[in-house]
Parts: sequence; C-alpha cells; structure tokens
Amino acid sequence: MDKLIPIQSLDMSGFSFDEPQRSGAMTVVPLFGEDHPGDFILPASGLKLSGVETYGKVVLENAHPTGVCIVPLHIGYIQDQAQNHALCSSLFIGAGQKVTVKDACCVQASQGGYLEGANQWFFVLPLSLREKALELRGKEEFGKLWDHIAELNRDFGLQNRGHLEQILSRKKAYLNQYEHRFELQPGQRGALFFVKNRLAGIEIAPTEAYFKDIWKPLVCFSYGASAMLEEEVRGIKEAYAAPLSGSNLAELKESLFQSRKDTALSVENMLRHPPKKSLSFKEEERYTNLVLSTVTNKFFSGQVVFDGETLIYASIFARKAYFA
Amino acid sequence: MLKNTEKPNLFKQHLVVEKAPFVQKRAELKPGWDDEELHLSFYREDRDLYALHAFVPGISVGQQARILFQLLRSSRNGMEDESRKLSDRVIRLLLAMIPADTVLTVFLALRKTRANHKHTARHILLYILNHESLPAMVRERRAIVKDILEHALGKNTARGCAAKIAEGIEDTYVYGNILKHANDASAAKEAICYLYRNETADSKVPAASGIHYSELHELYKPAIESRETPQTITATNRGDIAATLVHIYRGGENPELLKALEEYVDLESGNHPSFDGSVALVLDSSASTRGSGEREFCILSQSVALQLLLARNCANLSVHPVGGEGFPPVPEGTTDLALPLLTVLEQKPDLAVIVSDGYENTLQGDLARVLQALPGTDVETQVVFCHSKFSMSDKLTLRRPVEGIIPEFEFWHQNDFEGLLPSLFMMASGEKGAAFTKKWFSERLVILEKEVQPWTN
Repeated sequence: MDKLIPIQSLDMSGFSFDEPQRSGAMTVVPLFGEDHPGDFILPASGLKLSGVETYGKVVLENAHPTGVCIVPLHIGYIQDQAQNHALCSSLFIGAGQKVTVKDACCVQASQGGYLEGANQWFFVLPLSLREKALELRGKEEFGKLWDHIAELNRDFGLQNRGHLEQILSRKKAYLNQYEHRFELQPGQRGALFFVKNRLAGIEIAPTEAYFKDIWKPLVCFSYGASAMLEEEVRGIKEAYAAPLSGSNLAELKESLFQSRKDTALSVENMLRHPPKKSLSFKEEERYTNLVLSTVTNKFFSGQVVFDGETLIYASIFARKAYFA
Repeated sequence: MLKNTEKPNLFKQHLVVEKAPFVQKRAELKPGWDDEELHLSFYREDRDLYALHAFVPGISVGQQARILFQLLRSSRNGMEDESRKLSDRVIRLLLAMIPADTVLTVFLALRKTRANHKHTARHILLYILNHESLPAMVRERRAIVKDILEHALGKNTARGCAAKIAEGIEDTYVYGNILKHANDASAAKEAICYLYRNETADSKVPAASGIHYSELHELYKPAIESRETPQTITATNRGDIAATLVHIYRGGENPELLKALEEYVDLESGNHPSFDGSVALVLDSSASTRGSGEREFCILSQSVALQLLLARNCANLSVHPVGGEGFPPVPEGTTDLALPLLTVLEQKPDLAVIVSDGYENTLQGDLARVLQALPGTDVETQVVFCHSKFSMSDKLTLRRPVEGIIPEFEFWHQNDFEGLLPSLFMMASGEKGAAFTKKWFSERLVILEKEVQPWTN
C-alpha cells in the first residue's frame, strides 16, 4: 500500500555537501559520506549482462560469491551486436543470482542500431525519458519508450525515430565532456543535479566506489543530455552572476566570495523549500534489511533503498511538470 | 582604454593576425594603412623595440612592410648611434626578406609622403643599384624605379647623372651621387641608361639572368625548421620530460625515473632563454587533468613539464596548484581558477600564467569576471592562459574560459616550449618584459643575419 511521507524524512543528515560546481546549464552539488556498511557490488563493472533473451528481456547476473547489487534505476546497456536496452526499475540481485528482467525497454526501434566495434558501455536514461520509463515499469512491451525517444530525438534536431543511440553515440563527443566539466571528488557518495538552476535530480549511492562506477552514466548521459539540450539546441546561455567590482585585489576577492555565497545560498534555499512537501512511497522489493521503494509526488519521482531507517540509495528526478 | 601592460602584447598579436598588404596607389598622396596610429604609438614609445618587432615569429609581410616604411620615413634627429645602427640592420634584413614589389611600394610611399632623410635615400639607392636582379627589375618596373630614383637623388640630379652616363662621363658628380653606392658600376650604369633611354637612343635592353627580381627574397628567408610529429600520439612520445612524468604517475617515483627527469629538464632548459623576473604559475591539477585510458596523466604531465622548465629558467617562480598537491601533483579536486589567480596577484609578479585543461567549474565564469574586473584595479601584472592539450587536434570548445579577454597559448608537445617560453616572457609587464623582449629580439636579429646573410649588407 502506498504511504505518504514528508520529504524531510529522506534523511540526508549523514551526508555533507561541498560547494557547487557549475558549467553551462548544469550545476552539481557533491554529497559526501562514509560508506554504508555492507558488501555492495558495483552496478556497472560488477554486474554482468549475460544476454538478451528476446526484445525486452535482459538477463543480469551477479556472479560474485558475496554481496548484493542494487541495480541503478534506468541503467542502460549499449552492446555491440546486440539490441540496446534500458531498465525501468531498480532491483536487487543477490550473490550468485541470475535475473531475467522482463519489462526492459528496447531503445532501438529497428535492427539498424548496432554499434560497430563498441565495447559494452553503460548509460542512465536521459532525464526526460525517466518519468515515462518509471511509470511503465512492469509493462512487458519492449517498444514502450520508442515514441518518447523519437520525441527526444526531435528535440535534438535528429531523425524522428525511436533510436536512443542517435543521441548517445552521435552526441557522445559533447556528452563525454561532462565527465571533465564536473569533477568527481574523493569520498563522494552522491550528488544533487540542477539544470537551469532547478533541481533535476538527487542521486545517492551506498558506497563511494558504487557512485564512482555510475558517475559517468549519470553526469554524461542522464543529466548531461538535458543540459546539452539547453546549451546546444535551445541555445540558452546560462546567466551568470553580475560583474564583480573592486578597486583593488582585496575588494575583488570580497566581491567574489559574496557572489559565491549567494550562489550557495540559492542552492540551499531550493533544498530547504521543495515545491511539494510530501512523497508517496510504494514498496517494490526487499532483500534482507534492504527495502526498495518508488517515490512520487507531482514534481519528483524515483526510487530509494533504505536499510532500516537509513537511506542508502536514491535516484529521484524531476518530472516534466516541474520544468514546465 | 588599454592599460600599458596590455599594449605590447596587443601589438605583437596585431603583427601576426593582421595580414592586409601595404598599399600605395599611384593616384593617392599617402599609403593606405588603417593601423598607422598603432604603429606610430609603439614607435614613439620605444624606437628600438619597435624596429625589433619586425621579426616577431609569424609576422605578416604586410606588417613588415609597414615597419620598413616607418623606419625609413622617420627622422633620426637626436637618435643615438646604437639606435641608428640597429635601425639600419633591421632595414637591411627587411629589404632582403621582403618581396621586391612590396619594397618598391614602400619606396613609392616614401616618395608620396616626401620622406627623404639621408638614411632614406642611402637605403633606396643601395637597394636599387645593387639588386641582384636589377636588369629584370628596371625592365619590368621601369616607371616606378625611375620615380623612386629621382625621389632619392632629386629629379635634377638624377637626370643630370643619367645624361652624363649616357655620354660616357664618369666624373665626381656622377660618382658622388650614384656610382659610389653601387658594387658593380657597369651594371648600375647600364640600368640608368635603360631607365632614361629615349626612343632614338641605342640603349641596350638589359639582359635578364638568374632568378627573377620578384622572387629574389625567397633565397633570403630564414629556414623553417620542420619538426617531426609522430603519426600516432601516445602517452610517451610527446617529449621526454612528460613521458618520464607519465611513468612516475603510473608507477610511483623511483630513483631511476627521478634521475632521468632531472637530466631531461636540464637538457631542455639549456635550449630556452632565461627570464630575469618573477612568474606566478596557477597550475590546474584538478581531477579532469588526469584524463583516462591511453591519455591518462598525459595532460597533467605536460603541464608539470612546463612548470619544471619555468622553475629552471625564471629568476623567481611561484607555483599555486589548483586541486591536487605534492610533486608531481595528484590530479584531484575541482577547478577554481579565479580565487588562486587573485591570490597569486597579491605577490605582484611580473607575469601570471594559468596552465589548465580549461574545464573551469568552481564556478564557470568566475575567472572571466575576475579578469574583466582587473583593469578597474591597480593590478599591473599581465595574466596569460596556456591550454594544456593531449595533441594538436584537440578541440577547445567548451573549455576556453578566458576567450577574448587575455592572451591564450596552447601546447601539447615538448617542442612547443621553444616558441612558448619566449612568448610568455615577452608578455611580462613593465621593465622586465620590455628588457626580455629587447634582448630576445636582438639575439634573434643576430641569428637571422647569420642565417639569412642578406645581400643588402
């Protein structure tokens, strides 16, 4: 049964924030925290995509003798000689388990989408596809995202078809640069992503190593794709803070400090005053003490994992209504 | 309004970037050059330095012609002997290196502007009467050569000498005005006869031989050293210093690598000029400079290589790392370039150099805002930005935080330091920068004279 909980119960007191990083249309606030105790398999490099049984059915294997894998929400796989897929929901895969995910989205609408010579690499669905992908979890229809992918391709000025690799591959040179534009820090377990100064997503991992493994798929392909749309396609230049002033270095420094304080304060305010005060909570799966739930309100949705009272994983993203 | 510290650098950039030819139309009273004010401004500030700018690496022919014109049209009243000699050396070298048709345009402009100082006339006569392809030049550019000769000598004197030469008279009048300037008197006389021939006179058409007059300058160009660039760029073929640093980064320090590093830096340091001033280096060693895959550590290694060279060749280098610390610095942390720049400027260095891969994120735009605000302060230090790249073909889109605000340079291979170090030192503000520029250009003048061996000497 769904529960309604206040957003503040997503207790992030165990995390510390660092000063924001800003580049173009995106701002990222790193989150730091001690690794949560437990053996968590790395989600990209540690989990094996054993195969694709048929369109929409992917087989994932945790071949490690110990440790659970929290499969990241909306992770996708690009593989040479295989149809590319993305998952609609997070899930737990225990040590030694092989799981067939039956509600995966095929992100290529036709056969022509094979990548030549590409090794397997990972992405997280572009932000604007995630709301629909989450909504359609459980629905076993491999083409369920094609229309939405086609719409996103149109937004990018690309051919109107359900091939996500048009964006992920053709825009890869631009998208890859987000990994350099935003720098992962030692001890980082998560991040807040803002696009055009609006909160676009909250991503938290159980450990530093887990977050490092999923960082590039998130910053380049999920949130990066949205930022790129603003920067390159819509041509929206991010309006930076006002010119600095000062007749000497000391005054200039003070002016810079104040400007940065103002930026940090505006970020803080956004977090203190979320647009909607509560989230509905729907439990999806349990694995020992770990509980996976889907959270939703009018403006945000996503999935979280609690270990008892402690939030250890979160992938919560802004819905279209929030950016409207 | 430009600050004094910015002007010399803008002039150098102008000389390289602006390629419009020097033009003097016959019907016009003066040459068409819309950057005359800029040239005049620099000439008035320091005549020697101005002259030496004729050999800025990459300067266009049109700009060299302007400098030649300026040096020839200007009076030398009150000029010290050393400056006169320097000016003559620069003029002689330019006359050999610039295409003859362009030189003739400059001479015509001198005639139009009635510039006829002693040194002006002397250089004109020496050039024309001793040109290796004089026969072809007088045949093909007869009218303009005649006009120029009359300008240098005075119309009456030129015609008087020509008449005497036609009659075979070689008295002191002819010798003192014309023939004393010619290495080959008979060639000069033949040319004068042709220039002043009338239709009935039995004047010989000068025989043409050897290289065409319009191409003679090709023989007097400095050799462009072709540098071998590897076809496939790897982590260890971008120069020995960076290659050794990549190994240190990969596997940790060991005595063998550290010794090799020291030796490579020693060797390279000797190939570059020294700078007798203070340089502050903001070194980006943030997480992004690590790179990945085959390029891992490459960008940071070349940045550190530059740091090591600057440490050897500058009287005083201070380094402010952005991100990781230690030696070599660990690539970690975010990229804040604005605050470190403000910090190093407090030391009032002669030059501040930011070396980075360009991915500013704390916060993007802050460095630009600081640089734009600096002219409103009392800061005199020149700031420059050096892009550290993996290869020549790296695109800098999305990573040019100072575009259009301060001078930018790029480097990817150790060979790039040959041009980079003098360019950086020349950017230094105040006396130190000017002193280095003068010294470096003076040495370059000597090198060019030895290499080019101009026929105009």
